[in-house]
Amino acid sequence: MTELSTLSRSVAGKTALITGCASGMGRATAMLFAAEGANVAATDINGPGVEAVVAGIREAGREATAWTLDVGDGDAIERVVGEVADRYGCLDILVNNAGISRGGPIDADEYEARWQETVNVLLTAHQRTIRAALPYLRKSDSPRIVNIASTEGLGATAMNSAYSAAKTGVIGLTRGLAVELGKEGITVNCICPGPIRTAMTERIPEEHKQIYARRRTALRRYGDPEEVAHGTLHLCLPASSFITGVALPVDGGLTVRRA
Amino acid sequence: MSLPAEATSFAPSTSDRDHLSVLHPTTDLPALRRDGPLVIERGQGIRVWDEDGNEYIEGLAGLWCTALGYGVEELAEAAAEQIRKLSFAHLFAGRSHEPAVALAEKLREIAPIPNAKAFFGTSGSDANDTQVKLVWYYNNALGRPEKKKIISRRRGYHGVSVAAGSMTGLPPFHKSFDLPLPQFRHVTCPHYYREGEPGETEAEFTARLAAELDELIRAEGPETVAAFIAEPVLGAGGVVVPPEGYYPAIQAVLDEHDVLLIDDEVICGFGRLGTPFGAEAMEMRPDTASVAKALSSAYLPISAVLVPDEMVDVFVEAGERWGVFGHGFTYTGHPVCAAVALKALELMEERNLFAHAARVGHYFQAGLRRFADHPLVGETRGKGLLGACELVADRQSREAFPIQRGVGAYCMQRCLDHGLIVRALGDTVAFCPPLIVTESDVDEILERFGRGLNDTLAWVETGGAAS
Repeated sequence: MTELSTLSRSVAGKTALITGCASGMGRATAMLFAAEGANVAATDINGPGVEAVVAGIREAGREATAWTLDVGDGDAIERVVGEVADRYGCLDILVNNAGISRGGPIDADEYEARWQETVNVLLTAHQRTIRAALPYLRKSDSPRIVNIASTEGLGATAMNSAYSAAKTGVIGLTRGLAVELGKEGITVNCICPGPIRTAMTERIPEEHKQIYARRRTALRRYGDPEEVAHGTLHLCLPASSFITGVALPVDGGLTVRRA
Repeated sequence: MSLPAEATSFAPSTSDRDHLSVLHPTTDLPALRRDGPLVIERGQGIRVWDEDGNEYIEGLAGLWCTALGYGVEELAEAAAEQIRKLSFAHLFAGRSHEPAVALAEKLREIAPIPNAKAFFGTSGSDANDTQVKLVWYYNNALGRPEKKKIISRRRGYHGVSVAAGSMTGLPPFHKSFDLPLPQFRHVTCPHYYREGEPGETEAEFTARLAAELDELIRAEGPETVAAFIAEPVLGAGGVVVPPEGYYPAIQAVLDEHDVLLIDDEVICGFGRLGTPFGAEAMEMRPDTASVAKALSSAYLPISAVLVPDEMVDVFVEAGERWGVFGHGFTYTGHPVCAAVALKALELMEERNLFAHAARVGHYFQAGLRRFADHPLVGETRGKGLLGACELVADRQSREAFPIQRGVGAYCMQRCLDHGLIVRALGDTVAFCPPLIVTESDVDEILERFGRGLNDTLAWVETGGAAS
């Protein structure tokens, strides 16, 4: 057996900017990264929500700061990223998690508006946060970008084309930037969560969740946000230095059962 | 429930959810559990669409019922208007209401029996159950309590409730359900292709069947036999058109033994065979009749038993002795169903639908006959807009495929894949398109069927077996 490298298997001491932290996968990711010793810059459009998450982290003796941020607002992104870097003096990890879901048929009257909003929040915001964070990431010794896409970017559900298009775009953005930024040692990956118990899926009755999971996933269950957070954490470890450009399904085997 | 648009991802489809909460009627339950259902979402004209947006021609008019096709605005409006005005009223204990009376009047005007009164129900099954009870009540009232047995035909279909299911002559409806009840008898199906003996002419076949009926009635004792029930053309038993002269021959036997003829018009009624009722097309002289399905074009569930004034007079007289006539359903004559049925009959009249169906029926039958030479086809048959192709292993010997091979079911599935809904009755593929079909619709139906049939031939020739 060859000797193991000394690459860190921890995000302790790293500064991580995570968007959409007031609930679901963002909250779980913020809590997990903080528990692992990272300085967490947590943002969300829901100010009180993200403040509460940060308060919880601090009560546990970990480090986090809350920012109210609408990722649909490019100027606000610029400002917050700058403030984060000022607050912690560096930025090593960017997790683009904030999202919305605006479904509906292609011929709906409101489709155009839903498309604009969806693409703006789910896709345009990702490149904006990345562009804003890049100068700081370039100074990190293990810069990591993780975009949260979706299995809806790998397959699709009817009546959800704007969402699916945007999530497919996130995968494309991830791949493009992995190639473009690879020479600088910046890894860019994305996670494709499947059926996860989040605000987006809370309106699906429990019984229907179980039917869906039994019929569609290999593990026969919905996932919890923390299980997605662990995937993200893994991609952000300094030791995950040779993983880039991947779209990692965290979906309980949904994707493989479609095969 | 339908989910909000925001939550369409990661929610189960209707077919995913189906198996949790629905027990399906007349279904191969293990196959359903294995394959899941076909979920139909919407319909317009003669076409329906499934939950994935695939389009099909409804070649079986739903379950032999959607005569006017889907999406008829006038019927939606008739229902809405009646719901707004009076959503429910009953006919028990001396109550009445306009929609039921108007529909009964209309039926009296066009019924295949003279001077008919209507007793309303909600399905063909309950109509035929009512037929049995009325016949029993009638003979009790006439002081002949022994005269109760009902004769029907093997492969006849009259419904699934306990009495109607007893009259049905198909094994799946009896086996393991402890049916038929003891008062029910079955005679040979009038299907010359399958039941005719070598060298026997159609006329000889008919005479043999009439003799069989006569012998049965004599063996049982005519004083114990109350009625004979028949669909003019058998539907679910494989679309069987009895030979010419069959009903007059049967009728003579029934008349001789004072046995009533119940005409089950549930499928054949309202233009299906090219005449207003099947009785007219098949030379039947029924004493009573059951109608349902096309009565409302299946927009709402409604059926009617049509009985002559003379029979009702006997009931009234019996009431003097026995009190209340104790039969009826909460939804007997439901005003919304009645209003919709009346509108459906009006539309059929306005659109001259029976004449249209007769004309297109000829075209359809001629088109169907063109498959008679296909290597898989033993017999093509039918009348009007009701037809079938029987698939056989050997055209010469008429040998059927082993039933477990599922050739009919495979053909039905292939037709479905080509956008045509038909029904496999064993290895007989049945057609019963909405009566509004045009000649070009018929061309499209038969073209899609031809593709399904050729796929089936290829599958049979390569030794395919049902999975």
